[in-house]
Amino acid sequence: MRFIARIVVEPKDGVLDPQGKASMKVVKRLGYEFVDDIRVGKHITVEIQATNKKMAEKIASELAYKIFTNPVLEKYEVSVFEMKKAEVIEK
Amino acid sequence: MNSIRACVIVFPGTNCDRDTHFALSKIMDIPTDFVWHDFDEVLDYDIVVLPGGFSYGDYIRTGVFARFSPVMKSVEKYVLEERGLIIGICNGFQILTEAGLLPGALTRNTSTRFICDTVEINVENFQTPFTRSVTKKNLKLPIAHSDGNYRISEKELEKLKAQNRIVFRYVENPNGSVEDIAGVCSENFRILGMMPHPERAACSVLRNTDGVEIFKSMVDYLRSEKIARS
Repeated sequence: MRFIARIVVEPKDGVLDPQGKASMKVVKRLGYEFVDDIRVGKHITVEIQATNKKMAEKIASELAYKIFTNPVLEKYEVSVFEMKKAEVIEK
Repeated sequence: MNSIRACVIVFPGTNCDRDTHFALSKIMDIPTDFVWHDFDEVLDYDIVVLPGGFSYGDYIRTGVFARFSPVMKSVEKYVLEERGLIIGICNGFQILTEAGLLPGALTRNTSTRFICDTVEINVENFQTPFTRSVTKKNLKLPIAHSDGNYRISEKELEKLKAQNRIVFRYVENPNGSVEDIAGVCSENFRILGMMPHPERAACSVLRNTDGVEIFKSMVDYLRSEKIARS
């Protein structure tokens, strides 16, 4: 089966996020008074061949931990979906 | 007499390899080789340099792809067997932290800008192999980075301080590093990571030779070690 894993990487709380800070300045300048905080991260999509969803989740988490994040600075979230037949055929 | 040998590791995107090679071979008079990133044999050198640059385009994070290249396996073995000294400069420092050979991590400067400047750094520990022959309290060295902001957990920082492993501190912090840290070394003092570029301040034509003091220290240390061993 084929799965799509979406990995979201975000700076940890308390770690300086210059992109978020810069975005915040612009947002305030545009008059959005009620926006309190912006954090900018990364979104990585991985296509995985695996026998079941659990396996795919394990692989995706491993990748997220090993390559896509630095544990000192960043945290991640992984969500895995089964690829729909239609999507597979499209390829 | 000169039996010390050095190598400069070259990753795709490294751009300080030639400067470093020049500083070691021409200024320090050490036979120096370039080692390509897919080299997976024994690193038979006394000095291994991870030079500055933008390895793998700084994709994902600085240093992360370089950390997974075959040569890093050889570097890890080199460290385990305590064969010689390793110095990581700029991007090399970032690679060493990514590889877990040095603690902490380097992230975007607080100014969010690339900084190219000459800064003063204080030498905090004169006992390390990298600073033992340094004659000045203060070194003037060039910096050129956008990710030089050193971050480390409280606990690790305490450990660094207790073991006297903070080697250099900025006089005026340019990038927001914790406690003005510009360079740290490993627990056995055989690996140094630093953001400033000693190789760019090695030639008298450029009117700054403060960087030579660091290379000289390494050579002096290795010589005395060789004499002690023989």
